[in-house]
Amino acid sequence: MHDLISNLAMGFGVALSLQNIGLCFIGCVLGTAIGVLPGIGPLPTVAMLLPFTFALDPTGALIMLAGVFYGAQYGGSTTAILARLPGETSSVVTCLDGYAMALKGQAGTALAIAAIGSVFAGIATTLLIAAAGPPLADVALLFQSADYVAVMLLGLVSAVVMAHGSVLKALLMILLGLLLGTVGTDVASGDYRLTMGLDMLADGLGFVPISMGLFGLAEIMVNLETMAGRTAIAKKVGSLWPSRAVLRQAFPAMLRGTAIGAAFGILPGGGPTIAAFSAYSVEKKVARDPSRFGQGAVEGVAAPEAANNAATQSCFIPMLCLGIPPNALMALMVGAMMVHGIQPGPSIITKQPELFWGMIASMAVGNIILVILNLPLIGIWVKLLQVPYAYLFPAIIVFCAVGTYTVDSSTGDVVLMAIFGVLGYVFRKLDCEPAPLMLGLVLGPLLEENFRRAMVLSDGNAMVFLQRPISLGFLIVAALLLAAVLLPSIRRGRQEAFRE
Amino acid sequence: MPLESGTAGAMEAGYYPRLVCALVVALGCLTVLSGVLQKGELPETWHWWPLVMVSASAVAFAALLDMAGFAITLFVVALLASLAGRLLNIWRAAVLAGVLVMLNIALFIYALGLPLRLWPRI
Repeated sequence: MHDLISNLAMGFGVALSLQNIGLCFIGCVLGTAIGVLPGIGPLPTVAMLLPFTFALDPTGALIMLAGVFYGAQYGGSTTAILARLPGETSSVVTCLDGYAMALKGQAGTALAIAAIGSVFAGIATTLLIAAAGPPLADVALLFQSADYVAVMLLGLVSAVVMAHGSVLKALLMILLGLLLGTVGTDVASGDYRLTMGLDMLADGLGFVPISMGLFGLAEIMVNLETMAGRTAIAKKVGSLWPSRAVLRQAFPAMLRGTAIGAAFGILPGGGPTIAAFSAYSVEKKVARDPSRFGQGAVEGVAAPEAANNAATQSCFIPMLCLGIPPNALMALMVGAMMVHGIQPGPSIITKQPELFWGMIASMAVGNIILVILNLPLIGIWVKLLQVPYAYLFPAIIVFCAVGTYTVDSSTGDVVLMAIFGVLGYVFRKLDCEPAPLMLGLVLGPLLEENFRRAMVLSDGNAMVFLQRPISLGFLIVAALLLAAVLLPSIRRGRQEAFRE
Repeated sequence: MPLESGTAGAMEAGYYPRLVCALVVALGCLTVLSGVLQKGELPETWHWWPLVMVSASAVAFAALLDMAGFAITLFVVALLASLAGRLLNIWRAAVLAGVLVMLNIALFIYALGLPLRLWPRI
């Protein structure tokens, strides 16, 4: 306990330096802005910001990039409540009750509850990371290659479970990601693999061009198809101060949302979107009168907003403590750290205490900045919402192109981005989610490296994964998860077969 | 020359990619099978114009940058991009492109100091 306080004090010392507050502020403002704007998410934004962070010290860079990520959750709820447009996918469910509240003239209350829920979840999760990080890292030090393989398999399986739509398609997307991850130079032998003789592929496929293509360009291509008619923006915000009765109603929902969000964030393959969806459905189940949901139930705003913010922060835990990025955005963070020669993993807390504690403390600081940015200054964001998409998307495309180019000064990467933009469009048309592919790509090289090492150590005996208790435990959980999604569909499939 | 596979205990470069490939092929066959056996919905209609224009603007950046310099390249990219939406007429698109070029020059060349050539080589 004493350690925790002194560590946090050190963290706040780092986070409250003038430079780091400034960077945190920039991150939060940018995050809120892209959160408010539909059609651009935190992933391409962080990718675009990467070249800017090369000049910063690593702590400052991470503080700013993290600010973009959780700032987007705040901004996303504003658009959801006022315009019934999810600014981010993680605020889709907030649209339901948030916009219903806005129609009833309670937009201010909804915005305030969303912000209070987010800041509560943000600070609670900050404390959770601070308390759970070091012991988790101690456990992680016991991990051997086989255990790493098992925990990554668990992550990939949970990504399949959490993807909506066909399980088969999600599995294929992951495998495709793993396969794309093998492109480049084989670390052990130095052989070029699947490079098609192109020099630019010798270093493998970059995360930045691929994520910009799959999430940036493809998103725009899809958006441009359905540009007809935007929902009217609720202009009257109303009182921002929620009544005590509303707060009392919302508080338990915030607590549940925070717990669910924190749990889903830690799980590899999880993240803010799935956390928000789960929190909403839990609220609906525990409510005495579920029919209120969709009609402007305040819990329907409080829980998912708390959950998505908790999840954005708790997904730093596996990235920092295990060195395993649970989603594509965390992989970009790993990239930002590697540029500065920092390898995330169990030893980061002891080797880079300023970075670890400074970043955690900055999350608390950032959440407070965000409440100030989002409540009193709500008018500015409403104005931003009125910028027509016709002006917005060309700017995004230009930034994507320049941003991708500047990471490696490679025009080949820009072509790669275009190719993956087209692929991303095709995937969307075929109902294949790109997120599992990205996770496969991110984890692929790590998975292969550990798989090979584990197999060498065990002399080619695959039983090693079942002999180590840690690895066995993860594999059992993964098998149970997979069985849980497969079984109902098997049953349903059988029923249909019987009917015919 | 094909990559060596090696053995499970001493894997060569080809082992893991082949393993993943085999899984892709297996699941791919399953998908085809389920597609043939189950009646599904037809995929959504495609809209070619945004698809082509957005990709074209990114490819234009790669194709022009070395030859035409940053300013002209960005202008072309922004123009192609804004025409993808068919929401702006050509004059408005040109003005928007001009503004974006100036913004990006200010940001990337002056503020960040990236070593990019602004004008074409003569």
